[in-house]
Amino acid sequence: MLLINNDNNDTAGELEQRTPIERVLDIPELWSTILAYLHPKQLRRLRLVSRRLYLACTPHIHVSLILTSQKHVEVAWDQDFPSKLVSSLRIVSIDQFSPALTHLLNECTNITSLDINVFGLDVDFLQELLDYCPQHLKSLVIRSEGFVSLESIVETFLQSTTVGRQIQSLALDIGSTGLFETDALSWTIFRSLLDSCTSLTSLFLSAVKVMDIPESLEEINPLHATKAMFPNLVSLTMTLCDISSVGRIRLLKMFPNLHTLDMTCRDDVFQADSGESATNSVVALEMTTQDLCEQLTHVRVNSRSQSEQEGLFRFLGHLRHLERLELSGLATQGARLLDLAEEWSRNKVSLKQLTLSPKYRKLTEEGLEKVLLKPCFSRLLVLDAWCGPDLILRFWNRETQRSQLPFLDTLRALHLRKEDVVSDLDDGAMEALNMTLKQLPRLVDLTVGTKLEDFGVFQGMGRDPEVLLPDPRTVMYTGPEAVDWSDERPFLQTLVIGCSTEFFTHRMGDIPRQVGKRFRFLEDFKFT
Amino acid sequence: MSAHSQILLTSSEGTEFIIDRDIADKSMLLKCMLEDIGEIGQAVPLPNVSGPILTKVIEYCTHHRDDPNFLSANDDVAAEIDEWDLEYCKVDQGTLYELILAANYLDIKPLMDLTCKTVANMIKAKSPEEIRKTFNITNDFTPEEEDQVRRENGKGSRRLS
Repeated sequence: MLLINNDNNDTAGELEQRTPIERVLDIPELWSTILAYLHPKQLRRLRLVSRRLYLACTPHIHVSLILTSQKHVEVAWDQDFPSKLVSSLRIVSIDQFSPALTHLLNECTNITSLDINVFGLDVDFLQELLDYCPQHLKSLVIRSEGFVSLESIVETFLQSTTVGRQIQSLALDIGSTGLFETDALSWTIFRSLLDSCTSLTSLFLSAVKVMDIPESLEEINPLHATKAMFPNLVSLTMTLCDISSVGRIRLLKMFPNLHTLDMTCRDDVFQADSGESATNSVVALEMTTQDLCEQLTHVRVNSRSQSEQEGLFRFLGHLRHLERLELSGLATQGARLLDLAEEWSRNKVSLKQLTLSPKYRKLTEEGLEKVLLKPCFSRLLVLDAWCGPDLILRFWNRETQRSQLPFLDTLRALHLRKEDVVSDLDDGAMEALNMTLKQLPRLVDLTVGTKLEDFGVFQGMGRDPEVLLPDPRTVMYTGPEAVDWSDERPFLQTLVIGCSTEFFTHRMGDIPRQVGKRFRFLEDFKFT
Repeated sequence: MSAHSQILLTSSEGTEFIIDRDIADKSMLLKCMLEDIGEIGQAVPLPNVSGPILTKVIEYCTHHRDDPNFLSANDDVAAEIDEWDLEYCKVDQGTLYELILAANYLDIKPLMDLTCKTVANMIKAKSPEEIRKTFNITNDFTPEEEDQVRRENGKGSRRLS
């Protein structure tokens, strides 16, 4: 690492003579704002300009180091290796300390993110790793499979009190072998984990079986329960976790400022009226979801349940700040979603994203049309649904030749994922889709899962591939006002399309002209 | 307090500016100051901002006076710069840096984000030598130091996030 001192011995007179750029350089916050807009490659170039810029840029350069074998750890002995720039360390498959690893951890003192991914993680190795963790550690991921139990991992983690206090993001993904119940986590240890991590803002748990949810007075009686116990936690992800509805509600009540909730549930965890809670009136009082997680803006639920999920929809209906909703795997009818949309509209909720996964088959295009017409969707930015051009046709007005989609002016991403064939579509559906796409000025991401037979859906969109671009050597550039690209809208950046046999056989060769030339700003193109 | 009350500001060279209160409130410095001490009817001195720069700052705040998303408009790093803002930033480099300093002093976050983003755009796609020319910066590295920075960049580049 280069040692350059910032010798700032300027006299008062010299300070007054400083140019504005030098005065800007003197204020680190201003440089941080400027550098935030630059990519790492540009930052590296900037470091080569002068000593002053080298010093200004260095804190913004981050190296991610991935160690997958002892050979990679040998980088520790390379004198030119910029160990002070390493902010992220990922350890894969290494399960014991070596002199090189010890040296590396001693040198890399600016690590803020540590990702441990070791099969059969040894708790002594974990303990030693955590002991070496520098003071700046903010994010910790522990992934392991094998015979090590989740509780022993958590107990080891809890012994490192310094790490526990400073950690902001924690992910625990300890797989079960099937031979032993390694995925169980008692409520008491879970609470100890939360109590120890006082700075925690994000928690990710995968395949955890939350056990022994207590019935003690302070846990179940609202008069005794401490409110807002963990106000710092804003993001909670529980993937394939086994937790009862009582446990789930009790857990969420501890996080009053939660903004993001991502749950992949094994069963009906949102059903509040299950037998376990109905027997106790105090528990029943606590089970109300009326004031649960009122600050949520992003909810993602993936459930395999085939039930109507009344509890979930009641919970969603109470959210006043919801902006992004992603539902998958649920078997709920459109009428339920319509009731929800009406409730949100009454409460002035304005959604930016609605994602309904391919498994959401009970919702018809007719049902979704009624839902999308509700005011809560009038400013939608992202629509992602298992529907096809028939949905778009429902909004098409043949007389005015305008789409009645309420979010024409705001939509940035449209994903119509239904993989239907063109001959099965309603008459005029592809034409309506083509015309509607031209009326979406902000659209940048488009998915058309329909198995296209030709490029007709793009007719008149983007740049006409038949018109040649002028030779750049002969063009006179006369400033940005001379260029009018507005006719080329939408400026697609990503495009995903379905492909019929006809398309595959006869049209593949036309893709560079019909897609590449047409959409000049395209960054990613795929087939479904 | 009247919604249409006016505030008197004095630039570093003593030029006086009368602006509406809602425009002054775009500056967190002025907003907090006026909320704390109230409108005392005297000029608010701004010794760190010259008259021409204060004129530009007032022009920006006046244009965005009815913008409901004023404080959240520039949170998106990848967001495009609005056409008016783009024209607004077509000034010489000295003025641009003075605007950054003024936005920082007056605590007008959207203006600071806009001007910093403009400087970042001037840096993008330029070689170190071009950056030196653009910003009139002298290369004060010794050849050995420059070589070491290059090697450091090379070692880290494959793993840069």
